[in-house]
Amino acid sequence: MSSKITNDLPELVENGIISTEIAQRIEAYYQQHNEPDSNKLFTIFGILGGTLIGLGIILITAHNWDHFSRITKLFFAFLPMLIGQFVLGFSIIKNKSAAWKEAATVFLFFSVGACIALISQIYNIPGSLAGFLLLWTLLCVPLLFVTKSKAAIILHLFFCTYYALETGYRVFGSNETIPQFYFLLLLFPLWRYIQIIRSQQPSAVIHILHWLFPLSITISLPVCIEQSEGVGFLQYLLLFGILYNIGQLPYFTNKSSIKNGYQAFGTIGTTIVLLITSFRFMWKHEFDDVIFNSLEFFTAVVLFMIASGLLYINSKRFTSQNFNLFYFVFLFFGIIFFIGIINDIVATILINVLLFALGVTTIQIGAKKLDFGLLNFGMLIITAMIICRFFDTNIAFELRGLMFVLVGIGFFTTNYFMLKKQKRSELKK
Amino acid sequence: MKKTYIYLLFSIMVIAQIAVAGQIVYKYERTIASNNMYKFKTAPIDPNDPFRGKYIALRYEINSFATTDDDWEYDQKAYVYISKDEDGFAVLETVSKTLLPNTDFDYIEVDNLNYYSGKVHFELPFNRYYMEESKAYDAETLAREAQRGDAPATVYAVVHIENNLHVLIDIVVNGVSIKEAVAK
Repeated sequence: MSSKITNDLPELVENGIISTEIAQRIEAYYQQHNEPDSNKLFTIFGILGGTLIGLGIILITAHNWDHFSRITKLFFAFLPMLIGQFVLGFSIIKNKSAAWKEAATVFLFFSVGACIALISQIYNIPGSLAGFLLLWTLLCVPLLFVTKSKAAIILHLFFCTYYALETGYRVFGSNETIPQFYFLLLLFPLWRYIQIIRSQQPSAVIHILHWLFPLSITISLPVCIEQSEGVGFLQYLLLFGILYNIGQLPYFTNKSSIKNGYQAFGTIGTTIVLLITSFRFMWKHEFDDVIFNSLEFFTAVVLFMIASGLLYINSKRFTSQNFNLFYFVFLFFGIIFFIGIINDIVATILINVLLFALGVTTIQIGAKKLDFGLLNFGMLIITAMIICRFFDTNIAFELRGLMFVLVGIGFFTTNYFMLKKQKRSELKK
Repeated sequence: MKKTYIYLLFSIMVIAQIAVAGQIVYKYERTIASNNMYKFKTAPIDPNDPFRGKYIALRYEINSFATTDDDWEYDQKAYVYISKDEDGFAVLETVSKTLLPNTDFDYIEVDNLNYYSGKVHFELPFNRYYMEESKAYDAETLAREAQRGDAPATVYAVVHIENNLHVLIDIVVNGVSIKEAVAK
């Protein structure tokens, strides 16, 4: 992008669109802010190389060399870690390039894992995978800070999510470690992530992290569910409320949807939870196990407070332009949840009304903003809702068919009118 | 971050990584050095671990204790007390919910308890024996075959136990280490 702009500068100056002075300033800006592309490429290859060698070492050690003595095996267990520490230390002291530091960080991260794994293998330690992942990730926490490595953030995020998967989805048997340690592990990469956001350095990695963080939390939330699974739905809806509201913070204004994972997770997640809970049997059976004095409920309260705080921050910037029902869904759902514990029919009706309202308002906003994506998303909400209702109502087949045809026609006509409207407004300009 | 802090943090990390790994090694080496060796009769099967490689999963003959007390929770911890017979094989003495004072018996901490048919059932924790991947399957077959037939061979695990720490160092089939038996 920047190279295209700088390439075009002479032409722009020649045609009198910008002055020579402005052209020089633009050029100076990009020179100052952009690392040469070769450096970036070198860093990426460094990270890839470090990852491959590290993973290779884990596989080689997993082979288990039976004919080596215990001492020899121990020597090879520690060797990669010591090499990694030496190389990283060297690159810090000599202040080597980012590529050096990133590659050494990634290599050391994997070699620490290999070292612990090999020791467990040598002594046949039966410990759980979760305990191993916890120890490994904790021992590598400083890597996030000593080199400011961005690869380390992704690695930490990946492995703490892996830990959550190991502990949070356990149906049978007890955990040797505490599943909620996930949040402790998450805290460190989160800290670095916020640091990078605040430094406002342009970086491609940050856009990836805007997707990876909400993904990790969405996957890992079951670490807060022990016995009262019904509250899980409330937790998830509150979480999606938080994610949506984060996606609307001033930082994300003027950022395209592709760079705003929070908004995507918030809207899609909210819709999915609402669709699931729009069935009456959910309210009839799933929420029988709601216990107020539980970890699940405590988590829900914390999530509600965070969501409310974010909503308050966002509410200061509400205008008729950016107002959206998605901001408030978590509030409504909270109320409906309590109604649902007492009366399942009222809750089911209210969820369906809420879902329908969401669909309609989304279509409205899409039409107003001439945004085809939003318009069709709204249509999709209503279509999904209609499909869901077909499963639990006794509507005759011909009527169902007719409704589908009507929705299909709706899709075509709304898109057609929007296209016409867009063309008209373009002509006016 | 200031350079001094970076150096400090880096040094702490290096020391912690070496110390934690070293401490695990030290702990288990000390248990082996104590030379308090038991033999546990086994029945192995063969799974996989993504990081640590192939291993033989082991079950032991010592896996339950007859008691009239039926109040055992699944996620509760218990202590299995053992002694040795004249051949060095482990003999189950008792299972207790708490640590017993004034006893000379060695003990092993177990969890995942299950009470049925008048017995509390448990699994001894040293249930993995890592082997070279090419040998793990053969070892499993060898151990299984050896325990079949009219005169089943004795298959046992050699375990060092000291202060609730245990290190499984070998599996012996018909008096030969399973690594050598498979190599043949």
